[in-house]
Amino acid sequence: MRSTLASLGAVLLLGIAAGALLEQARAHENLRVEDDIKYMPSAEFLRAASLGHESFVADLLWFRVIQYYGEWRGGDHGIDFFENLVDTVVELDPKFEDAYRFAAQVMAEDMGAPEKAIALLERGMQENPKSWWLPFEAGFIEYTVHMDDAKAFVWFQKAAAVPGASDFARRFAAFVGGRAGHLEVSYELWKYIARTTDNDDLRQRAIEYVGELEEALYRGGPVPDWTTRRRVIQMDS
Amino acid sequence: MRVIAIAQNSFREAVRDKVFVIVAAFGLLMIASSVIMSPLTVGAREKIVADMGLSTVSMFSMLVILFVGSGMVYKEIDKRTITVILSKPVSRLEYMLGKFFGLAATLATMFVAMTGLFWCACALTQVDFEAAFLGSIFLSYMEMLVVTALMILFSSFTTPVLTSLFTLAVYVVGHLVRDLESFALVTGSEALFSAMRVFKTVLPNLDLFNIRNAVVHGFPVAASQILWASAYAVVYAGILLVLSGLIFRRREFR
Repeated sequence: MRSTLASLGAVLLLGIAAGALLEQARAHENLRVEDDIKYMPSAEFLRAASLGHESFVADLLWFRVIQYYGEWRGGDHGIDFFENLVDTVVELDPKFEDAYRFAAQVMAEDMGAPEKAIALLERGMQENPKSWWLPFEAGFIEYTVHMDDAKAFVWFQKAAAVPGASDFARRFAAFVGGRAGHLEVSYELWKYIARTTDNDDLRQRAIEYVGELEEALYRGGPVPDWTTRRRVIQMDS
Repeated sequence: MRVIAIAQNSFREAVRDKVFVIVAAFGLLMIASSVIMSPLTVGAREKIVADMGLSTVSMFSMLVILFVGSGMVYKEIDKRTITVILSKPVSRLEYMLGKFFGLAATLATMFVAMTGLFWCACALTQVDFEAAFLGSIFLSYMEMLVVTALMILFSSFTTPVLTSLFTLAVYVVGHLVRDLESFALVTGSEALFSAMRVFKTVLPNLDLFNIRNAVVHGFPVAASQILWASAYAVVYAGILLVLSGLIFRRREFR
């Protein structure tokens, strides 16, 4: 009993000592938080070293991307290596759709590099031609960051044309198409939504917009105001 | 019948091995951790849970082969129990086959347990457990059969440490077979190119058994691909086992 207590006491003391030493060691660290990223091996090497588990290695790096971004948000370091990290992730797993989407959002909104974001999304589109999310994100960046309705419309239309695309890809295309002056295209897209959507509320709104656009296009009515002022588009309905 | 008896014994021996229990427990823990990690995946939950499950099954079974399998034959030689077995009407080939099937059964048990937990992890994280996952796991098992046969071959003439090292080396090169020729082309050496072609022909092409990426991203995998790869595994493992029997026949025990 006594020897057990003595052993536990020793473990406790050594634990406290280890904790204090850890603090000291951290204070004298030569490497900075992001140094593991700076000296990270190339994607080519990681691919060979992963022995067929490159997708899993990409996942592990993905956690590092998220952590790195979080650290930057917390003010721990800069964001200089973000692009390089993401590049390695998508190089290892070119089909990693969520990586393209998240990274493009960060590049466009946090790093102020929307062109790079769109270039990354275009790279993702080449690898994932069946994804409607990637052109949709590109359209979203054009719409919200560049505020270029015409370019956004092209991307949204591309997203809407992908088989299996969500209703709201078509809604965005319809809205932005109207704003960009493509009233006929907007009219057709709204008609398509009114005909195909499962959402009653959305169908009702689509029928209203079709009516408004019909008036403007074919009966000399006024151009609907939603085509000329920026508005928030509900994505969840 | 004699092969089955040796296999049963090897299976019992392997599952009672503490290293096997530890490796298997860590494998199961790794799959379970995907449930905890899934909220941190920023939208990529399905892919990450699937990747973790499929890769863990393959990686940890490789560890079992390296740590548990490599010592199986050597232990019997070291403890001289092999002389008792071989004094009975059991051929050396039958003995090696028994060892192979014993370890194959151990791996099958581990695969089933890990697949079960992977299924649970998918259910808990609301990820669909696709039928294609089973195809990928089956091919990983076939890959491990080839690696087990390699390990049996090496253990027929060398020590456990060297058996592990040789098996690991062939496993690594087996995954780089496709790159061997391109590597030789870069160097520009004709001799190296010829050598690499020989390596490419002789060494097992383990990339054949990797359909994980396709399965995780929902791409279709032809049943014929699984079938041909499995047939390749059976034939390749068969060749290695016959070779190990031939080598082991020449070995003397004192």
